[in-house]
Amino acid sequence: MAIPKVQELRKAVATEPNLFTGAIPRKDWQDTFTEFKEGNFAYPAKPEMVAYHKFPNSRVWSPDEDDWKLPDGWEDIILTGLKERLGKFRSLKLFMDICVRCGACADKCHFFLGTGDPKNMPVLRAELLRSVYRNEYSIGRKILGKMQGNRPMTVKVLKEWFMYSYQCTECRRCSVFCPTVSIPLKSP
Amino acid sequence: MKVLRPIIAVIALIVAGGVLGMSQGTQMLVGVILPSIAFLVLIVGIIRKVIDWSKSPVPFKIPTTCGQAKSLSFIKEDRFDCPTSKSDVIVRMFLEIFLFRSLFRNTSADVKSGDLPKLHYGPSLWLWLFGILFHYTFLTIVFRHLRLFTEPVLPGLALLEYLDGFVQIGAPVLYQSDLIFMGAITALFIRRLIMPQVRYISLGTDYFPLLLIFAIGATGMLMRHYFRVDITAIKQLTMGLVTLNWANPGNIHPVFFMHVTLVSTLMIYFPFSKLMHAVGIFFSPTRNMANDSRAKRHINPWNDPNIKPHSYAAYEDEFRQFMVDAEIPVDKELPSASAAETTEEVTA
Ligand code: SF4
Ligand code: SF4
Repeated sequence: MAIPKVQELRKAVATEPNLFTGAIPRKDWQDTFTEFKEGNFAYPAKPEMVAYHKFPNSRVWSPDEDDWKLPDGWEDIILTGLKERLGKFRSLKLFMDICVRCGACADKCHFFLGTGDPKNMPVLRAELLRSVYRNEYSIGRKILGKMQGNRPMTVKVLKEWFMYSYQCTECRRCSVFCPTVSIPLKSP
Repeated sequence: MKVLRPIIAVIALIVAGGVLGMSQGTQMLVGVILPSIAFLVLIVGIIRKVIDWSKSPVPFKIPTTCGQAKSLSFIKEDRFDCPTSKSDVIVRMFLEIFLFRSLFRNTSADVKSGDLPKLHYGPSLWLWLFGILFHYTFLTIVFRHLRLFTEPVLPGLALLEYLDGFVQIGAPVLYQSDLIFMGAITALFIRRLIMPQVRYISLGTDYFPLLLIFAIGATGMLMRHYFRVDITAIKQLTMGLVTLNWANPGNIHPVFFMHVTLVSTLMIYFPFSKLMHAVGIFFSPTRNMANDSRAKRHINPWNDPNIKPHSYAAYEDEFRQFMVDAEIPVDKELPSASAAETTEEVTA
């Protein structure tokens, strides 16, 4: 892939179809899923390095393969992990609950400005996790499920998390503009 | 369309309230029992949520720093954007909660096209304006309603009503807060529908409270200006709610019961939804903490004792060979070849 010049990039930001320049994706964000292509994802660590840090499930894998070789019962591992972190960080619990989706943070993220990918709007980045949180914890989930945009934990959702968590530098620019200050700073 | 379900839900609530409000028997249900339960749910729900939040610790100092922190004496400090003391934090929180400071900072990014398109950032105050108008008029309206729940009427309410009806249009006087309130909530709703970004992130649960609150305002204004409901009868009912001497005077127009059904729904919905931002904002660690981590030690309450400190010296001991191979400078050189031999001899 040739490296684009600044001038080309400027043009691309303004003319290629994306939300930022006015072309609205036709599908809801819940129905669009991530594609991994050479060059658009972060490479996983080598198995030796994962093992050195005593992290579980060290293995050879690549995000662009269909099978991520997830351990058995990975959904449970994630959901218990989420629960544990909700108990450890007030920030996470609070921010899962009180974002008003006002959109003030939307065009503040440089990843959004640079890519135009709607899932790079900080609010949607958080919503990727929040939709699963609501599916587990929101009291009205049985009646309001559809209206709340809840989602069960699936491989597709996990792949989305991988893609968009690594497209955040945790610079916290979004947090400067948020009226309820609801940016989750630590994703599980 | 994500906005369809909320519309249906709100219409259903209006119809239900109206129908139940038509006969004496069911009036008691929607006019007295429902709001009493709703009020309980609101209070208990908020308290539960607050307790739930308080149970989780705040392990890290994470205030959002929006300006220069306190530093050397000749560097100008930005006291309220990067507060280092408790009192500055209080000022920051005050500005945030009462003036919506973060929203006031809002900018919008767009592309100025031309030969060479250019990213352009400009201030964007609409959201701040409508937001603040909406919240303050809502507050005024809630205060005005205290007239129905206090006897003798709270002092100061008369003045508030006088000021609010200052323009003196119509009889009964049209309150400015009502008009601004309806305008602001409509603007917030339309904004969600027409701004592509906000529309894309909006869920049914974002439209629902807006529509619900709009319907509350509309039924309220209809009651006052169109149906001219019997206010003394209503006060008898509302005072009955407060004093627990439940009463239904029986000659109240059904539109009142629509209004009460909608308000009750809002009260029940509140603690389980994003509306909790009204309470949550006080708890936001990114705004209510002082940025004093260099001056005071902040201890993580659940530090894992199994994670031992790893000093630089130990790190270098572990990776010295790699570092030397990669030509990274090291504090202690690798043991020289002869030294290595002597150690071997000793161990042998
Ligand atoms: S600015 Fe804050 S409240 Fe608004 S959408 Fe973003 S995270 Fe949510
Ligand atoms: S922290 Fe920075 S990179 Fe991450 S979502 Fe916010 S603005 Fe974007």
